[in-house]
Amino acid sequence: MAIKRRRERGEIEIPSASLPDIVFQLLIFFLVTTTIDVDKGLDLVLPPPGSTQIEIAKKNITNLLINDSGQILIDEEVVPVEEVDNIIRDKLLENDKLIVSVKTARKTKYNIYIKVLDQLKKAGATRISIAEPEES
Amino acid sequence: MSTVLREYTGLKVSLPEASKIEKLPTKRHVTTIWVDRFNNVVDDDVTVKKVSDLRTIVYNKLVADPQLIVSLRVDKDADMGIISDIQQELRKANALRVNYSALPTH
Repeated sequence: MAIKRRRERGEIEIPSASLPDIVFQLLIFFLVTTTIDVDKGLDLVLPPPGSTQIEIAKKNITNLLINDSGQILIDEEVVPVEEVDNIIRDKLLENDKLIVSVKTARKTKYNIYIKVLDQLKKAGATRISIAEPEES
Repeated sequence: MSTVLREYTGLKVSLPEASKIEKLPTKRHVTTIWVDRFNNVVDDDVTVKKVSDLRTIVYNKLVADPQLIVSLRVDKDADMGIISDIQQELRKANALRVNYSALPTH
């Protein structure tokens, strides 16, 4: 009987005063660690299909060729990737109607193409034309 | 629920890096094309055997959703040849808004 009385007297409970603390800690932890995968990338609008050839004055075009070994040629001159930005910006200052025609070889790596597009965006070139790759 | 998680994973690609990247304006009007380093092509959850099949696949999606944006998740070691073929198919399908997925430069 003594045992029963003791149980009735002191009911044992798990202290729950800290429960909200734990809940908030968990909430904050998941808020901080959850990353929702957002697609980020370079935007480009392709030319419409079968578009009629538009005559463009030669002086308004800059040819940018990326060959299969990853070299970049702007108007037949080899330039390093990091320089594309500056060269194109200078050219745009001279002529704001400038169209950059990007041409690649079929074996050109995609990585270098993205690098060049990134450089062109940095330079503020909005008129970018994508030429069909050269057969090699 | 506001959170939408992707239910397909596509191919294993290591994306190139770029600095001038923009967020895709929407998630609802996006179809993703994966190209891995072995030049395999997957559109959303469909394996594309011939690149020329892409035209019909993308065209049907464009009809269902005229605001479609094509997100290209391409491995940085892929060849430009296949990318160009894909772009030509996209043009023929009239899906002209593309986004080259890239990671921010560190």
